[in-house]
Order: sequence, then structure tokens, then C-alpha cells
Amino acid sequence: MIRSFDLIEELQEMYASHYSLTNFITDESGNIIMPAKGNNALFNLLLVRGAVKEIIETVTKEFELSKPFFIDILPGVYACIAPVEGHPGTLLWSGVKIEQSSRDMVKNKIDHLIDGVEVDRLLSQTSTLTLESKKEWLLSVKKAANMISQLKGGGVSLFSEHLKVLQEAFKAEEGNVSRFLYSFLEKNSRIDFLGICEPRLDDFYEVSHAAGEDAEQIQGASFSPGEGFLGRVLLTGEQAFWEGIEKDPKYTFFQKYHFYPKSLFCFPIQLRDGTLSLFFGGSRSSEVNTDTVKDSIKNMAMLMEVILSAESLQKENSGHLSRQSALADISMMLVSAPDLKKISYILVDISMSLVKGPFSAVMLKNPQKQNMMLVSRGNIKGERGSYLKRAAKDYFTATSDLPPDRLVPSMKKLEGSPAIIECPLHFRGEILGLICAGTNGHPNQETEELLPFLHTLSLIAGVSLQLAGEGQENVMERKIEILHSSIKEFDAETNRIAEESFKIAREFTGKLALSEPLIKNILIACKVHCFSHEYLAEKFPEAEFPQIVKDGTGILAEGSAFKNEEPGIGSQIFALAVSYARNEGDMEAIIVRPYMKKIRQEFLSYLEDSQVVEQELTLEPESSHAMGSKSVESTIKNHMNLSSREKEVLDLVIQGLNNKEIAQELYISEHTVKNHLTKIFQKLNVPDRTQAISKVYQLTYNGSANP
Amino acid sequence: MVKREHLSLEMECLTLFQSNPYLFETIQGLEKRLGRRMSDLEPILEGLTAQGILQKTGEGALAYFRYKEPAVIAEFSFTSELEPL
Repeated sequence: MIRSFDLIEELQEMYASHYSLTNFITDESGNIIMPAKGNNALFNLLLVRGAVKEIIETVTKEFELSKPFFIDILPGVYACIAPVEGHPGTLLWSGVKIEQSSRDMVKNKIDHLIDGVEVDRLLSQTSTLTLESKKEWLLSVKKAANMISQLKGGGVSLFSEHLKVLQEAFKAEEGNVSRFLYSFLEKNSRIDFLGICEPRLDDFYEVSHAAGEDAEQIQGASFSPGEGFLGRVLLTGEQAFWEGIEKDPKYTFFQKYHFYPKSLFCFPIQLRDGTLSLFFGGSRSSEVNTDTVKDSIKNMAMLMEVILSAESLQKENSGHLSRQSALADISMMLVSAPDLKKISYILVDISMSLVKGPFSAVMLKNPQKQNMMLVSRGNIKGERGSYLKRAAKDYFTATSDLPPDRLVPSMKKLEGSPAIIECPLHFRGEILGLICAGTNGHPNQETEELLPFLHTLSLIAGVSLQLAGEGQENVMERKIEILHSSIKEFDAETNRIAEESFKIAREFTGKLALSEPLIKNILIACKVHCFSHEYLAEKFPEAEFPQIVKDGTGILAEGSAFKNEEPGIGSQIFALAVSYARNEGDMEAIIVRPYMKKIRQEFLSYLEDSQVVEQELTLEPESSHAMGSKSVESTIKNHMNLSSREKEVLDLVIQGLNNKEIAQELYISEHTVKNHLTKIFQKLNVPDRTQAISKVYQLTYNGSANP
Repeated sequence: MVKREHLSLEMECLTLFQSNPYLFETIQGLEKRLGRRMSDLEPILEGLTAQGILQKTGEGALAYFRYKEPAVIAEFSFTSELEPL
């Protein structure tokens, strides 16, 4: 300690004699810990007269110094103060010099302040402060302070100083990388500038933050990996220190921006998302990176990594929050959208705005038809149009339910053109629509990040579409019911045809492998068959059944020909059902058209089968008694050679009535009943009543006609 | 890297224009309607204009923005032959 005290004193003396300046050292409380050395008469006088005491107190209390700076002891009279690194609050004072322009003013001031001094001599001994000498003075005092710092040793380590910066900065609400850089600079007098380079979208890197004197020159400077000193670190991924770089060909990078460092360091910093940033800095005055400086830089780089990671996490977090609140807004918008068109507008705008690609298209499947509504932004002509059709066909015509992995958004990589995001919109496994958004390039992290967001969006959109679709369908169904009930009110025959054709069409289509929407359209067409298709098309512009009515009516109209193509299967079934109903179920009268052979044959087969089934159904449930009496009754009625009165009597005998009961039933005498019975027995060729009953049953079951 | 911090504001702008398709407004007007700073709104409105979602008439503070409806094909058949659009 004593040794270092002596050395410092010696250093002070050397410095003082070399520069003709007086110097002393103060501690964090403003006490002079190393007394003044040097022959600067003016400064010495001011010190003795206590003119500097107040200034020392102010500087120690209120200034937090990291670099040398000038202070005016009197107006025009300057001292230079430098912090002693590693010993916070310890300052090296050196002075004084006078500004040439202020000499007269200083003379008056000193005359006034200090009596009995030969002012002119004093002033002539004091050096003049010029612009050139200012820089030299700063540099010399900085060097001296550095040497004192090394001689003093110990003290507070720079790393703990850096940690303090970090702690203070994290207390602040918002992390600002530039602010950290400046804080680091303040604590490291050997480093003049610091900066950060970040990747741009176009694979170039640019200096995103720069701190230090004149460092704004390189702010925004861009370079590619491999270019210059900084670009080299991107390639190697290794930290690097350079000294005496002015002769290196790579130096042109800095020259280009009129920035001339003498030594340089650069550290790669890998962030959580895989991107690489660079932390660089150096000195414009010192050429040598000592081991101490290197260690301090390494500490700084470590802390910078923490700072950048924290900032990246903060951004990610605020990105999540922002997305969440955006999703809430979108959900509100979708749920309150009145119809499918509005929903598709919202979706196309959002997808366009999110992906920021050349085009976006929303296709909504029309459940009533084999087509869709397409809403788009950007250019969808040519190849893109063909692609959209293929994608729609792929999703909308799938016969079975799509596997779960096809119900989530995916990147479609197309050969020779940028990838496209496909985002199916579905509800309970049923595809309702599809968003296709073109990207600007091949899939990257940015677009991959969009997929989960789009997935959530597609789920909300699916529910909204379902809700809006149900609403529209309900409105249509209500309208159809009103039309149908009006037929019932005004025209009974037309209503019968409507009901019967509806019934038979429903049963027949149930046997065929037709799609649900088509069956629905055929049945609606039957219900409203009597209206003109023009009227229906006007009232239900989005629906498909008016076309079925049109074509079906064409088929039914005699002589109407379909030149280019056959009418659809729906219209053919409609025509068959209406024709069947009009002819009251007469199978022979059902229309015949050359192009309808197959479906007509199927219809007839269906009718025959259903009649057999009906007969069987009517026979089976009836009781044997009812069946027997009915048959016996008809046997008596149709097949016996008896008078009508005899038939009546025989019928009652079979029902188990005696002569008296029969007489009462027929309002005749018992005697007449006996006469009738005698004749019946004769005609049936039976001896008595029991045999007569047996004979009738026998005839009934054997089916023989007259006895 | 593309910044997505403005996503929420972007959605706010979209909501406003979609809910009021006939809105014809300057940036100052939008500033009042959305209660947002002009400096925040400006890049977003420019972005939406570049994507063809908004239409900009005029320049500078006097520029008006309005919603541009997307192209709609009401009945787009996907079962027909795959000829380009």
C-alpha cells in the first residue's frame, strides 16, 4: 500500500512537471487523499485561498463521472477531472489553463477576488486552453487516471459495476438496448464505442444500435455475412479482438462511414429464436486491448447476451399479448357478422394483413350447390386460379371426413413459386370453407409462427360460419313452408300432388346414394312444384331447387328437348315423383323419356317392391278373426248362388246367431228364417246349419267358386 | 424482422373500416376515432393501403383513406374443368 502511495505520488509529480499543471486526487467524500503536486501558480493560489473547495464538493456530490471532463474553476479558468477506474468517486484533478479570449475578464476577476497578487505575472505563467490542447489534455489526464487506477489496485471490480448497470436497467419499465450501451461506456473508460448488429429480412445485417462519440456514423450501416470484421464473426461464430486494424483491408467498412477505430472486438450472441446478433465495440484512441480490458469486455458481452435475450423474450411476450387481444377483436367481429359474405370479407382482410403476401382468397362452400363463393384480394389470375380450384376441389369434394391433420392450417410448398398457406374452416369435422394465402417466399420461422394463430382463427371462423349458415337456412325453410301452406289453402288438388310427390320422392331418394343437399333440394322442389322457376329463382337466388323445378318441369312438358346435356338426376327424380302423383299412382302412366330409362326403371322397381311390402304389411298385423270374417263375407257375397235375403241369413248364421236372433236382426218372423234356411241347405247341399258353416269356410280357403 | 407488435392496432383499423364500409377519413380523423397516436397509425394505414385493403386519396395530412371491398365471385364452380381464371 505504502509502495503504491509512493508510486502514485511520483506519477503525480512526473505528470505535473511534464504538463506544467498541478494535480491532486479526491475520494468519494471530496477529501483530498493525494495532495497537490505541481507548479501551476494560479491553480495553487486558488487552492490555497479555498476557491476550489466548493467546486470539489459539488462535483463529488452531484456528478457521476465515467469520462474525463472540463470544469471552470472561474469563468474562463479550466481544470480537467478524470475518474479513477475501479474506484468509484475517486477523481484526479489537473489544472489550470485559461481561454485566450477570457484573459482580460479573468484578470479583472482575480484582481477583485485576491488582493496583493501580481496578476499579470500569474496569468502569463498559465498556459492557454486551445481546441488542440483540449484533446491532448483530456487524453493525458485519462492516461494518468488509468495508471493511478492500476497502481491503486483492488477497489470495486468492473464486473460488479456492470452488474449494477444491469440491475438498475431492469428496474426500469422498458428495456432499451441503447441505454445499456451508454451505461457500459460510462463504466469503461478504455472503450469509446459500442454497438449491436441485428439481422434484416434480406439476409443482410445492420448496426441497429450504436453508442459513443460519432458512433451515429455507423448507425444503420449494413453488411453481409463475411463482409468486413463484423461479417467475419457471423461466419466463424467465434468472438474476436483486433488491434492496429487501420492497415487491414477489412478496414474499408469503417472508412466508408467516416469512422476510424484503432482497436475492435466483436461477440456473436445467439438468441432464443435461433437468430444471431453481434455485440461489438472498441476504442478510437487506444490500439492495445490489454487482458484486463478483454476480461471486462467478455463480462460486458455476457451481460449483453442476457439483456438481448430479455428483450427478445419481452418482445415475444408482448407479441403474444398483442395477438391475444387481436384475436379477441376478431372473434367479436366474426360473431357479430350478419352473413357469410361479411365473414368472408373479414377473413380475407385478416389473412392478407397477417401473411402480407401477394394474394389471399376465402372460399366458402355452398351447402345447397356444388360450387362456392370466392372472395379475394390481390391477383388470383392464371396459375393461382387453377391452384385455388384444385385446392377447393380437394377439400370440398372429399367423400369421407378429412383426417384431423388436414383440418389444421398447413404450408403448401409449390414448385417454382412461393409457398401458400392453406387454412380449412370447419365445424365438427365438416369443411365449410378454405382460406388460401400466398406468402412471399419459402416457409420461414415468421410464417410458421402464423400457423397457430390462423388455427385459432379458423376455429372461430368455423363456428361463425356455421351460425350464419344455420340462420340463412332457417330463413329459407320458413319461406318454403309459407309457400307450401298457401298451396294447401287455395288448391287442394295441387296440394295433393305436392304432398304425394314429396312422399314418394322422399322414400325413393332414401334408397339411392345421393348427397344430403341434393335430396333436400328435390324434396323442396316437389313441395313448390306448381310455382314458376323464375319466381322461385327470384325469391331464392342462392338456392339450387329452382333449377330442379325448371328442368323437371321441362322434362314433364311434352316435346321439350334437352339439346346439349341431360337434365340433372335431381330434376329427373322430381319429374318422376310429380308424374306419379299427378296420375294418382298409376305406374303405367309415369312419364317415359329416352334419357331417363335407367332411373325410370329403378323408380318402377321401387314402386313394385313397395306395393308388395304394403300388401304384406296390411295382411300381417290384422287378427285372424277379422281376416276370416271378411273373407267369408266376401265368399258369401260373391260366390254363392243364393238370393240376397238368403245371403244375409247365412252371414248371420256364420256369425253364430240363432233363428230368433236372426229374425229380430232382419225384422222377419222366425218361420221365414226357417224357410230361408231350408232353401240355403238345399242350395249348398248340406243337411244342417253346422255343415253349412263348414261349407262356407271350405269354399273360402279352397278358393273355389260356386258350389 | 417484421414487427408484429402492431397487430392489435392493425385489427382495430380493419374492424373500423369493415364495420363502416363507406367511411372516408383522414389520418387525423382516424386518430380521434381510434384514440391512437398518428405516428402509430401511419405505418399501419400505409401497410393496409399497400395490400389493397384501403384506398388512399391525396397525400400527406390531407390524404383520405377508405375501405376497398375485396373481389367477389358469388358462384365459383370447382367441379368444372380446371381452366385458369
